[in-house]
Amino acid sequence: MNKYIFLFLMILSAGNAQALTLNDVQKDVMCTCGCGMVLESCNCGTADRMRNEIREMINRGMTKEEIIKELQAMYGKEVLVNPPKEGIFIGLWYYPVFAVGIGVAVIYVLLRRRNAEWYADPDEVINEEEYDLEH
Amino acid sequence: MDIGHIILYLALFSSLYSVWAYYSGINSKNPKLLYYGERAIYLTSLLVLLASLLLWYYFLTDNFWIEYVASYSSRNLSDFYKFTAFWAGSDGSLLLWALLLAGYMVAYLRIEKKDLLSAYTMLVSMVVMVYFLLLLSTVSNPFQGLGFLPVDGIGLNPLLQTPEMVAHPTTLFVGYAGAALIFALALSGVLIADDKWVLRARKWIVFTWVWLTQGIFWGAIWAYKVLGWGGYWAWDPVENSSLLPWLTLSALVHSIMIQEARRGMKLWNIILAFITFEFVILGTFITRSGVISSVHAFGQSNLTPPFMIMLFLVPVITLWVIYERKDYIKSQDIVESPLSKEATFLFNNLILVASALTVFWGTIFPLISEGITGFKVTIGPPFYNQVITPLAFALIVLLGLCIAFPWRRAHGKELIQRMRIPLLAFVIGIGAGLILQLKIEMILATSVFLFALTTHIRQYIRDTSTFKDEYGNLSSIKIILRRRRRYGGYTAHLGLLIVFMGVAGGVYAQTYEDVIMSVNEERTFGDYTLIYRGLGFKEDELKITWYANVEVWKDGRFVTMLRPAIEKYKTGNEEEIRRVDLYTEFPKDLFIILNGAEQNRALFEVKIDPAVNLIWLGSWILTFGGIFALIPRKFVKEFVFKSESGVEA
Repeated sequence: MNKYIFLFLMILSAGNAQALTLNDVQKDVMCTCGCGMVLESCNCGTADRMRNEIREMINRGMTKEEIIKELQAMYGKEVLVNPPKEGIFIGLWYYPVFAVGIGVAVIYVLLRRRNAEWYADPDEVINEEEYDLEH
Repeated sequence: MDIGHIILYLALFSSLYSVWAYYSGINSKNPKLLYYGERAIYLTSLLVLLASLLLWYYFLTDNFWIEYVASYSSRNLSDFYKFTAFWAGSDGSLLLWALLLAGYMVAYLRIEKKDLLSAYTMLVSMVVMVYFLLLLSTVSNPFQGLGFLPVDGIGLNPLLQTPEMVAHPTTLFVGYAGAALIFALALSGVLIADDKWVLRARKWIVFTWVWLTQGIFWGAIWAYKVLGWGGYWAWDPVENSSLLPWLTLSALVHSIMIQEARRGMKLWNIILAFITFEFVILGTFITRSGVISSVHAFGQSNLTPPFMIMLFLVPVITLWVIYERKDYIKSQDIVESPLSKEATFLFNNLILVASALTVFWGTIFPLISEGITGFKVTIGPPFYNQVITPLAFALIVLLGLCIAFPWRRAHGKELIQRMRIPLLAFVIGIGAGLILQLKIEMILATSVFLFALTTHIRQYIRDTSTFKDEYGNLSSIKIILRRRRRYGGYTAHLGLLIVFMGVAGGVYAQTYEDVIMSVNEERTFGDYTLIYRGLGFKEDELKITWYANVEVWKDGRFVTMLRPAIEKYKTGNEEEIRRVDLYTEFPKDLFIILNGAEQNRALFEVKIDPAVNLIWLGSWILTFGGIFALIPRKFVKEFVFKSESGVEA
């Protein structure tokens, strides 16, 4: 058992913490020029200006969360690549979990009913239709 | 009124007649009327083809009297792109839709048996055709006159002037039109309460799936090489709308096999066929209406009301048919054991459909948020990456499991034996990842990839040896052809696994840097040394191009000269686009974008994606797997088993 815990800890330690870079931030921020693109993908003048602002904030030692908060204060919610996990936007984030949960419940019910009849191997049954067509 | 418009009206009348003839023929059991309905399909198809040829002719002869031609072409455009400008806007795209649907119907009539299922299928398909012809002859008329002759046309969007953009819409639309036929088959099969529809639909489903795969592939390549931001997938609404039907159709490919084997999943299969078609209509709508802002939305038009009606009517009709045939589709048991291929198919359907619904939710959420809060939120890649990544990993694990599990039930000992090597491969993957100090996500991706890959390789070998016993001394190649559907499926899985590794490599191991380089300055990126040799300039009648000369060196040897460029077009809105350049050393790409320059310096974006070419390779293998599964029985019988006695193809 200890071996497995050790292996798990090794896996966790494999992801080294690294210094914050422009790319870490700009992939979570929208360009505000109206192009509808994520900042990291946009090459317009507005995007260049925003990148410079982010670089300055990184140099000032701000964390990613602080920078995104600052950008939101400057440009509004539109600057966020994803909406916050609050209010109506909670539905966006928890919907996939809800969908999978319902699906798992349905499969659970289906797997408990085990009186299925076997008709034919699907590899073979398709030939019957083609044989039928040929004749 | 232009003659093209008249032809479209004639096609509309012919399609309406066909619908009436089929409907009356089915109700009155009158074969003559069904025959007339069939003839009307041929006539409609011919008229749609004529209208399409005419539009092509107008493009090639610069007929700027026609608004659509003037909007998407110009005199200095090459003939090749004049030909492809056909589908650059909404009107032409809808005509292409109708043309392809006509092609499907003609092919169906030529290939399939003429029975009640076919009559209903053609009736439903023809209703879809009527819808498109109605749009084409009213709100989306590609032959609308301009009222005057401009000196030149506005020109084709430069982003569309690439070979990839020739392949992407056409392949995707072949898939889209196929989804209409599949929906028609499913609806008809349930209407006449006959399981035969799944047998007949299978080849059309696989065929459509192959084209959707190709459509997504070409779209990704186009984004990668043309859009100039260095990626192939941005979870953009238009990209998403091409993925949605692919996901649900992939689920359908698997779930119809359960209906073939168990006569169950009838309700689920018609729902999947319906959702796929609904997503196809939604995809056409999103791309062509501009209702959701996207870098790929190539049309702003008045198509919203008719598409909303279609999006509403399709589920209403489907639900009505389900209600009418509730006795036929009533629930049936579909497993004998939870340790069976059927059970893994249920989970695979869950993951594929949950992924589709999640992507769908993210795609339409901006509209919902705008309706409720007045704020049109943007749903960017982090949302999709966060929710789709676990589903993708689970799908890859399932890919391995569904191959290892047999139909009906697996026995404990046999299962352990089947899973031994794959589990070992999984552990080796983790160990190797730790030694190479890869990111945790990359280690997991590699491990599940190895797990699924080994189950497939093992099953290839095992099945071939089992079938060898069954068929006597047949060669392996003959066995693979005999069991082409099974091996086609395995091969498609293999393609998907390779795509998965390509994507994982890009997401977790890509390196990226913005750099300003002076002339003759050297910079090192990974294994490569880049030397900027200055800026070049050229001009032709269509555009002005500034290109940077960048030498690529590796291990002290000159490898190639890359020329990333910025192009400024003289037509239209004088768009400025970036032409990226890349050097491929399979499976990795060195990718350079020129983002600006002055006399002695240039700003570059340099990326190294270690596995991007696996995505393209995997996509081709996926496609090949589908095509292999489609090889007709007749062909195999005549060319492979002619000399074998006692072996059925």
